[in-house]
Amino acid sequence: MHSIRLTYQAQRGFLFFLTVNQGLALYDTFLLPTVRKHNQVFWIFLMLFHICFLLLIIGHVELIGDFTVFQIIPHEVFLGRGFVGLILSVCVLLFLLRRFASPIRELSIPEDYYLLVLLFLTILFGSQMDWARRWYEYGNLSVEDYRTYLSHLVFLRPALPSEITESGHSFMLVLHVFFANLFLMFFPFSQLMHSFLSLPMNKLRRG
Amino acid sequence: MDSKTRDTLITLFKDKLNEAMRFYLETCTRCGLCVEACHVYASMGNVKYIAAYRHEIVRRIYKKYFKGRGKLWPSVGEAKELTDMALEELYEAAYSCTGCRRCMLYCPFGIDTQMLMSIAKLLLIGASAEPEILTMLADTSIEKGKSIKLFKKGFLAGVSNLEADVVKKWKIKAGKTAIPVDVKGADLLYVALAGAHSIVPAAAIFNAAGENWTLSFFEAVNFGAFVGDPTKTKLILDRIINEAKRLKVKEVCICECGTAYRVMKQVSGGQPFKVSSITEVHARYIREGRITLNKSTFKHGVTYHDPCQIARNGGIFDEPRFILTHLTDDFREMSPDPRYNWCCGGGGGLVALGEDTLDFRMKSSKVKVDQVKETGATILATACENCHTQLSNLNDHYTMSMEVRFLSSMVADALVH
Repeated sequence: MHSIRLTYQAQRGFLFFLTVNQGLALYDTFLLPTVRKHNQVFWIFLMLFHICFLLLIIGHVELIGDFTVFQIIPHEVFLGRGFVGLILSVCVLLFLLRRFASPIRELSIPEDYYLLVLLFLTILFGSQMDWARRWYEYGNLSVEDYRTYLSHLVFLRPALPSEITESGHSFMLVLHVFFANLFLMFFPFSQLMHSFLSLPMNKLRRG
Repeated sequence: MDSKTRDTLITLFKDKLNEAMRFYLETCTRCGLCVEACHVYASMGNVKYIAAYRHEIVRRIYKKYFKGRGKLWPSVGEAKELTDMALEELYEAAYSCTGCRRCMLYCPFGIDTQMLMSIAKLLLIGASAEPEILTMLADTSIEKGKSIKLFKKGFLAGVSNLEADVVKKWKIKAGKTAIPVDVKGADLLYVALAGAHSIVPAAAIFNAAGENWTLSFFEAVNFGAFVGDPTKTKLILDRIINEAKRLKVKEVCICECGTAYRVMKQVSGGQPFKVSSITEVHARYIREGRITLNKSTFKHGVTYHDPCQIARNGGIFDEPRFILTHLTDDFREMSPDPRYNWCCGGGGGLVALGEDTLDFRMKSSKVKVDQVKETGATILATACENCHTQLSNLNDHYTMSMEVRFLSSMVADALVH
């Protein structure tokens, strides 16, 4: 006899300190089983996108401050010599092109395109910068310089360390930070909030 | 639309905004996964029937009146003013959605389209643009709850007319009533629909199982839920809850009506009685050996249509299949995973609107017809009044030459004396 409940039970297991529904909500949120079931190609790109995005966030933590937890592995590793960004830009480009095909074209609203374009430009200049720095040995920019530049922007006290302007790849850096800032400003007012709401929503569905 | 109406509607919208609703309105990324989910889109191919498109019609108004970005930069989220034209769009979205929640199985966030459509339905009521007949039917139900004395005599006369039919199906001991009504201390309160088909087979099975049961004065169907009016839904529901409490029953059994079951199970809150569907009760009788069924009653292929409100939204998948294995050797599944069964296309009040929606209902359920035909079965069983009506209409319209049956009437026919 067909049993739906059993198929669900088979999926739980490793998280014994959570209730079954909490475990399932985490599973739904981080492994996207509904996407995998209905569109496998899309699922592969979605997973790649989100994993790479997470890696890059961790890789950027040192720009804000020193957190010992994240420094067990050097930050450089998470940037993956610019290849993490490359994978990410391919995914974003795919998501963008997807929106031009019917019927997703009819579903999309300007916000969706703006966000993807902003993200694409941010990643593009970010990865280029990383390559430029290593290939042409613009290594004179230190983490401290980055940190000063960013914190001055954030606290609205414009200051430009001379290392930033003198460096050969400064235009990439400035554009990368510019697009990233636009992206962050738009973040709380857009569909990007799904990154925080996905877990409570899946918890709601699982009950 | 004048500004006073608009203000009223925005207040109504605001009342609907609980935490879950805000989640649903904020989160959609328009990823397009729900494209395949809706039977209306799959049958008719018009983008306005995609779940995310339906959401967006409500979401645009949300952005306009509840979000700063809708005021500062409306074009980026396509925020839209609430106008008569917007109301027309809301009508079309809400009354082409059957609330089957198949899209919830596709959405990575589990956005509940039916909940968002309930905002649309409430706004339509506020603007007096809802289908009048549904409101009228809801009001009649509420009126009946208020003045039960007026209806009582006629109801009892009607019931006693049915008793002979019940006895024909299952003989009872002398001195016993075939259809007991208003029995204090009964174990089970059966809430039927206004119609012999909903009472006679069920009564015969209760008697066969030796159940200490009583029939409710009220019909199970909740027109308040169809039209999306929370106050009326509650009033209609309360009639049955009060009756159950007065009679001190242990269990309320809802007849083959999807909406009635879901509303009773999920809206009634904590009550001193258990809520079950008649399908669950029948499966229990078979399991406990209280009734025995003749397995050779139905020889040709039988397939089962899962009513959305009972199966996908109520969690009852195993029980009907368990019953069917006792009715036939030739049960054929429509979909490998019953959670993905197509909706019949008659939910959300569409069947209650009758002829007005017939053309749409037939066109929007093409995929269901194909799914049923593929099984090659001759009997199409279901456990919901709406589904039964819709499937019968489909049977005529697409000349499927099948027999559409209620599961309970099949059980009654197969009772072994």
